[in-house]
Amino acid sequence: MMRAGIPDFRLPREVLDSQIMNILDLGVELKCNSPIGSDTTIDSLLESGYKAVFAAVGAQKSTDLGIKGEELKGVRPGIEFIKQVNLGEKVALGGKVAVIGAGNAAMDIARTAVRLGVKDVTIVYRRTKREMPADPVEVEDAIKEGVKFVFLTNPKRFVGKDGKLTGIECLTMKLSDERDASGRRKPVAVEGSEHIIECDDAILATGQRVDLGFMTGCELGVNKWGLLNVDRVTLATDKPGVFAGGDVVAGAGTLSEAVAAGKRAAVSIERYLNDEDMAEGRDAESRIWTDDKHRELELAQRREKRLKSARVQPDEPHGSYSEAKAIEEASRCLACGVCCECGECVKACLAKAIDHDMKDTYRDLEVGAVVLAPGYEEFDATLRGEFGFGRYENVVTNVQFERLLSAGGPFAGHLQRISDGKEPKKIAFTQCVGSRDASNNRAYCSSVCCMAAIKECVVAMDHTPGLETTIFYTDIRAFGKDFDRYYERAKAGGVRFERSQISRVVEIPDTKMLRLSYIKDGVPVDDEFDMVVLSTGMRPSDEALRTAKAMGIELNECGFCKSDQFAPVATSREGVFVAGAFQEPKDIPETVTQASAAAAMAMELLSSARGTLVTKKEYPMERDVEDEPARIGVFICHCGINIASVVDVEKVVEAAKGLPNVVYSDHQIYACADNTQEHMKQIINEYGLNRLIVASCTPRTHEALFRETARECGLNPYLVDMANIRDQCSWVHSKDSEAATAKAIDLVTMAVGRSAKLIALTTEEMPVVQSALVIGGGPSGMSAALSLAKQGFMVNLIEKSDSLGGRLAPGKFKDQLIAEIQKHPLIRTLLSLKVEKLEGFVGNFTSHVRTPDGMIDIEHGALLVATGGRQYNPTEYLYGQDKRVLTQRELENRFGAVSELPARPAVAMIQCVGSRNEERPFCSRSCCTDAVKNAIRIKEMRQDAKVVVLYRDMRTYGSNELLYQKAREMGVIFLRYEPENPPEVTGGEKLTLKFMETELKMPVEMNIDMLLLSVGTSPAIENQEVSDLAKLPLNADGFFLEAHVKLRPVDFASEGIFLCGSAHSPKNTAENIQQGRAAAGRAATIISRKTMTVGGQVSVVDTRKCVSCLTCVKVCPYGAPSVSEKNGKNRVEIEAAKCMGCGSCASACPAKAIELHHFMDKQVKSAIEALLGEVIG
Amino acid sequence: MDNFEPKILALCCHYCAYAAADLAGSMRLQYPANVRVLRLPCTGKVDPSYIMTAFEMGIDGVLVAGCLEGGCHFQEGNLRAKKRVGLVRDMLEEAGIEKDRLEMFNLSSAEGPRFAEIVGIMTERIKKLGPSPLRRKLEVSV
Repeated sequence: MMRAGIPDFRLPREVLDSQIMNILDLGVELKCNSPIGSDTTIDSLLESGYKAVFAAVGAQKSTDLGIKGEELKGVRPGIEFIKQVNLGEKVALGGKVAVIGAGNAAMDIARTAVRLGVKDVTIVYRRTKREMPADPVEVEDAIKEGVKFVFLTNPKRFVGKDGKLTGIECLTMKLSDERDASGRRKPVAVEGSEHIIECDDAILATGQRVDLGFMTGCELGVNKWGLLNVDRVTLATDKPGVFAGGDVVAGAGTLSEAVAAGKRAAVSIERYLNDEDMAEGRDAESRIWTDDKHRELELAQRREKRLKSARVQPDEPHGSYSEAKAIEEASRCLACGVCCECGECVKACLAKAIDHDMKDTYRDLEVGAVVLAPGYEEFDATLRGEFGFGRYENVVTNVQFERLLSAGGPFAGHLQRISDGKEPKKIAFTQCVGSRDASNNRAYCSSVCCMAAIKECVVAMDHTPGLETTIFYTDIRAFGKDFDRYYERAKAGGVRFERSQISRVVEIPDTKMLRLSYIKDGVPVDDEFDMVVLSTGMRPSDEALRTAKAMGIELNECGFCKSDQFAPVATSREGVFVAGAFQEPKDIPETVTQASAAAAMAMELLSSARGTLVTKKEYPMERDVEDEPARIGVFICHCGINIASVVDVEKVVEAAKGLPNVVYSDHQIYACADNTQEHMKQIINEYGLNRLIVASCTPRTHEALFRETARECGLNPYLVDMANIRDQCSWVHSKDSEAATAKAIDLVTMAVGRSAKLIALTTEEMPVVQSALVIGGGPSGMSAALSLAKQGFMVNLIEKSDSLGGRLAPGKFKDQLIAEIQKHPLIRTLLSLKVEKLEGFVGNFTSHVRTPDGMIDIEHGALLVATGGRQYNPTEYLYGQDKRVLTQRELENRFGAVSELPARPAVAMIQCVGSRNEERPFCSRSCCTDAVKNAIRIKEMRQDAKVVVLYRDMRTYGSNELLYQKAREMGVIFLRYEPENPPEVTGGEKLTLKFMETELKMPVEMNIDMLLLSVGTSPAIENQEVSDLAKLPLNADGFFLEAHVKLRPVDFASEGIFLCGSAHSPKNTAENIQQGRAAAGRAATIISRKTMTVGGQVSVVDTRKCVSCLTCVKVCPYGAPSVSEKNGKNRVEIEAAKCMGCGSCASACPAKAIELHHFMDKQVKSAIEALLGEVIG
Repeated sequence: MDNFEPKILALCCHYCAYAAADLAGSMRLQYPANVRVLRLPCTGKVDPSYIMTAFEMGIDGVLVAGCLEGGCHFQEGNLRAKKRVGLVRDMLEEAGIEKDRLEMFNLSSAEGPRFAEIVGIMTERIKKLGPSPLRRKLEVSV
């Protein structure tokens, strides 16, 4: 078929011949002209000694139409036609040729006819272009070559004169609503639509079928399509030893599929002959394309070339490559963008890291707890068609915009439009795309998009001077720690905020500018922008939903993982926990917090098994090399070709050999490979090396590995140094081998200089007090204490007041939590007490607490700060003067008051009382949701009540948005006020509320029966005390400052101290509980260890030089240096356990009394001297 | 003088500048091969004597690269380095060495392109200034 059935412009004959020769050269015997099924049968082959037979006879017969006139001269079966052309027979076609059928074969036939010089070639097809079975690319090619198409036309009979075809009588068809077996609409004839299509030749391309004549004398199983039955994995027929593949099994297919079948059968036959299991480890199908886009692109380019030459070179329009082109193509090798399993990468990878035979394996893991952290997916912005995403190039999502701004992004951080690469002047952000959008089943708020948009505006304006940014929004939800400050700064910095929803985006075709329509001050406005950024929301990923289903986890009404406010990271299934955006949309710090909380909960379950699966690594005794002269070994790594293709490694080796103290130098393909590590150890022992230098990649990733190698042969790990000759040399100077080699030599020289001065550093194991002290008995402090106790640690919970509970709302949960704490044997509760003095450091703190019976000392390994917050005590709006004015909390404690209100009562709420103002410029986070909850409850109790909420931005983030929606549906009225025009309240017989309604721009006055104030949260008074006690930083608002606002939300910079709850920033109950647990999880990382390693790269004081000037004490951010009296003299000591190894004290010390180990002055200077000694020398 | 290739020492903090230099490598950014990086835990560890030693021994230029201001892994090390670099620049000038041969830069670990740019800026600047006067002197004396 390859020779006879495929046109040569598709399969060049030289290629075919060379392939056949390759096969024959392997020793395959070819017997032509030997039909099977007559004298020779499959059985007779088996009897004559062949152990296996592979039937690959193809589908060689055309199917005919079964209509009148097929005997006329000029009506030709398609396969016959192609065969004649291919075998060089003369085929005389008339001036007009009709091809019947619309598969790939029909396209081949039509295009072959074009190549034979026929001017008028028409494809006749009974359905429309859309239903054509031919590949679209083939159809396009045929059209480009001039082939005509007649659709919805079906031949009824061939008409002729004198036995010669003159035309086809056809029926016009239409597509009915009925579907055929293939799912396509069935064509039906239009009555009386007979018409003649004139033609000299009609070639039938309506299908191929298998000629089963070869089976004579050996009946094999045949299915209803007239194809052989085989095992899909092995291609074995039902007769042992007989295999079949290709068209005879699968029906007419492509050449590639046939080749694949041949290869598959070969594997089976080999196993069959060796009596092995033919199916083991094999799948029925294997996908080979990994990147269809590239493949299409590539095919499109080739096709273009082919088309250009179609008419000019009818014999070989595909063309073969010129030498230059062949080289160009070959140089693309391994970068073609598709995987066709050519195996070249396997050969190219020197590390032998690629294994094409790798398969999915299924493993059963026995675990005691599962944490689900599958993340989220971005809302599909094309679902909001009015914004034009996917149609207009300059409309991007916030995630895409983030990439555009990124230094590692597509334009290396330079902000530009996608359409023309121009720097944008005006950018619009539109919020809530796929959030707060019930019509798209995304009724919840995605919580992070407001701040993300503000940040992106600020960063973009930073990148691109003169850029104007506008955010179109409904509410700005800057509810997190320090978010409002950032929002206000962005406003002051020029980010424009428009409280309006965009109704649509329209692209102006010639400029690609985007026109936005929105309402400003009640008037429709059109404005043009260079780019539009859609703040797309979060949704649970499909994969996560599948996992949840498989695990039997319940989901909530928003489709996220269901959880309880009192157990925020627990799922509906015991032992399965959830963290991150799969629980509900959230930002990074909250995700990290939840991760730690989930870890804590898992550890509560698994505490008895802690450490049981750990095996301790044993190292040989460390060699004492202090008195030895430096014996340096230098290993230069090729990193495959990453270094060696640029840097002349042998030259570097030679240069290293000439450096002082170097006793060994050599190069390795991969310094990090296992076998090289073994080799290194041998060399270290053989040459008695006492310093090791690896010149390869970056110490940031590989220093630990080489230190480990050193340790494994008894060398102190601090005697290892690296020279970064890849990331900072060969990769960045790839065009200049000479300069790169010179630089590599310099870098090695510096390492050798430093190495000679390196000293072995000792670390020691210090015992850890495996207990914790928690300051604060509110919801977060109690949650933390209970979690730690459940993890098996002794906890001291100290509370300044005389009862536990803090600001936790009264109820069952509070009572249970307190009871559980009080009866837990590992928790000691200290009420009405305070820590007066804290001493010690991570793993070994001592707190001094004054009790009525005298001082007690508490030893603990970790400290948790959970001082909570306090409610702002309002002085405004007649609070305290008029009984009808209450705080939301007061109402919650006494909801009965609502029933006592008169008929048709009016209740008003005022938001942001004591929040977001000059004095307290932060959002108290929970008040909007609390107000909405209370409004709903009031409406539930009193349907006749009128409830009005005066707000600035409704910040009902996450699933709280559903409550906000519900309140509105119940008739709660939400009206906005501006802080410049706060509401006014006057007392008297009737309580009167006056305010300026922002949308109406009109003053409104109403009589109310009850006024509820949503008061904010202030930092606890004792924050300052605790800050002084443990030297912990506070932010400008008086809340504690964590080690890293995003990545370490519950850690302090000082090791061993953690924070949680409203001590960190205002929070609701669920968040307090979860942060308490998170702090417990983090604290457990310290106190679960019996000992901790101290020392190594830390600063040490030479007391002989120290003059106790206290500079180091001032400079150190960790409180490591302290003054103590020894022998009647004040001397500074640096606590190794507190030292983080930055060296700030060492360089600040005026007496040069402090040295940072591993970066001692002599070590650093020795590197510099080595480098420059060479410059001058 | 036209083909003068200066030698520049870069004192980089481990957390930002050194990481940015690695990133420039991962991104295969190409920049002049004149800079030799010396890694320190923090620019707060930069001692004026390191810079002075380098100049005494004939270096053509020194750049100190730390975290963005406010972004120091160790809180304020880079701010102290900034002060020190300012002082050393004045000392260089007093000693008759152009103070522009020394400069402090701030960048984050994500700013690979910025690292490449910094190297480009310093290399160009030092090329214009020519070899260090001390190096010329030392070479004569050798």
